Amino acid sequence: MKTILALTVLLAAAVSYSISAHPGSDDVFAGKLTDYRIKDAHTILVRCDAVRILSLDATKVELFRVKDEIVVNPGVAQTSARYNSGSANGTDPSFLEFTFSQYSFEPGEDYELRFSGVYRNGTGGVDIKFTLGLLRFSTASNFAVVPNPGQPTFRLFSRVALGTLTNARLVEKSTNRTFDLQAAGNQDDFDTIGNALIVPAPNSIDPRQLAVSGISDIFGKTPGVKPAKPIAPPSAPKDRDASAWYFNFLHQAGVGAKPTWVVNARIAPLFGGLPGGYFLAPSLDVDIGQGQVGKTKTNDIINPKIGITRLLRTRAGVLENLQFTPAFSYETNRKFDKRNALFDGELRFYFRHFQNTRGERSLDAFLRERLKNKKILPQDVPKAFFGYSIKTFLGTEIGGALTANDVKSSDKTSQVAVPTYGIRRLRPRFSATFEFQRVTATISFAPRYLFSDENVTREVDTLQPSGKITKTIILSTVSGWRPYAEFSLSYAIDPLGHYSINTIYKRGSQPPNFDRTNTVQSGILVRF
Amino acid sequence: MTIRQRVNDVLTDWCGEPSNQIDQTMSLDVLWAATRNNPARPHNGVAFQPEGVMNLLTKLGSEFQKPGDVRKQISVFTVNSFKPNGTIDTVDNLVEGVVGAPNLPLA
Repeated sequence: MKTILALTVLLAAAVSYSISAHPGSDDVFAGKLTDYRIKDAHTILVRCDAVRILSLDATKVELFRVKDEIVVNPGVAQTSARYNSGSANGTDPSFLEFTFSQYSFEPGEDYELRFSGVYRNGTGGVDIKFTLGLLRFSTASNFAVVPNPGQPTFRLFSRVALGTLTNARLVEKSTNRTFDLQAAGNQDDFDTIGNALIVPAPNSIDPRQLAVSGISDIFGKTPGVKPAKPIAPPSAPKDRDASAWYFNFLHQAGVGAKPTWVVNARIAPLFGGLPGGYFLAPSLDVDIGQGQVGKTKTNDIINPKIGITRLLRTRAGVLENLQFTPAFSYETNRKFDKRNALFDGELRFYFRHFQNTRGERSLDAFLRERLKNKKILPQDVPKAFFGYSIKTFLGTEIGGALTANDVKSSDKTSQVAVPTYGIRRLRPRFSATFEFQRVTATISFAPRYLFSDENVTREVDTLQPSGKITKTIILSTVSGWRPYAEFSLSYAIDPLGHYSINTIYKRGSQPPNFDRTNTVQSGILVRF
Repeated sequence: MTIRQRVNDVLTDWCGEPSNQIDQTMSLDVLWAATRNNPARPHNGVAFQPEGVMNLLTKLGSEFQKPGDVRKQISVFTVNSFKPNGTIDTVDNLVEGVVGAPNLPLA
């Protein structure tokens, strides 16, 4: 018993000594060395992520030559390095700089960098001692053809800084296309070192057929070109507003009636580059169908628009932002017997707390958990069950019918002349989306108000003296409130939400002919 | 100032997060959502796509048209350059995208 007690006391003393003798000790450097650049023949810049480095004092920095990736030759150079972050409190990455003033890197060689010393990772923190930080790097300056993120073009990239680019040229030998090469920025900026822009920027280029001239690296060598890596496919948009392409193929059916098809599509890409922060916003909205079930019709609108749009940050309390979208709109139907030209101006209002989607709620939960446990990953936190988004708009439609048209009945037995008319409409619009896991419920409501009478056509059954029933088309007018609402339920088939099955209840009337709709449709929704 | 510092300053003006606190590997849509109730730049209810991205492009365009030694043509980017339809996802992607954007003549 005495022996056990003595051993316990000795063990406790040893542990106590080791803790007091090495406060904050940490053998391996905790920072993650994720990338590097050879800035000049003596200097390497290393990007350090994962752990915030407030300051670093590497008292011993050694450089080794590596042969065949496994054999490390005796050290070729030694130096020391100090680093101090520009910001005392933050999470910005550290770019560590190691300079071997007595040694010049040799071109096309592999090296190993080892350093040791102490670092601090926060204000008021203790020195954390480390005995090994390690990075292997190459001074080979071969260019890779890499895609420019966000653009369909390519550039040349090397981790070794370039010399001056005087009359630098790139030739694609298979096509004899020639390009100029330009430095992407300053050659002392970590992110621009070794980047050469291809001018004009090509949308496609064959890396196996490229030759460069008039360009050299810091060693005076002309870099070669190696093939690019393939680009990963992009993921899917999450909702209709984020979709540049939206197609909903629907059908409706009834007892004793032929099924009808309906297409509800929206194409709405955005293009930038306009002055004043505006974006070009062309769009095409189509909601048409063929046939009808009993007396139930579907919507009949084809609406191309060309407009501009801009987000305005108000910072005015509850109303945080506004989006202004003036556009010229052409409103027609499937038979093209309606031809309205309109100015379509719309304001969208962004109110505080009107949006809290499943994605945002899941993110909030993850961030809360991360405060307790830094190592937790997003996939470790259960996704939120519920989310919502509420959108409010106010729009106007001002214009008129371009031409007087003759409109025939569906059986072509009667015809009516529709004179031109003016259009002055106010279009408040409201939509709310509620997410329950893969199920999404959306309700939208547009109580449109028509300030002036608009000419429309209506079709009625007429009993002829022969006993035959024909369709007769008559001229009518509409004005005042003409509301329209939709309620839809969709279930995402795939995890990314590209494909869903959905059902929609449509009720109300829509321009240009304001036929009353009261129908349930179901189908497949595709979003990209 | 480096391109990364300039991009981070733009992000601060965009979402309100101090530039030295922005995780460079974080998705921009996550950054946008996480800072939606930032008192300096509230944007609750403004979706990342397309409105948030439009606002970001406007601010980037202003920054990189300023006179200086590195000026970039930000108009090559559209909202579809960004996630989910495009290849710009993280802050690092955005910095790399700006680096790869065509140079504007020195002003």
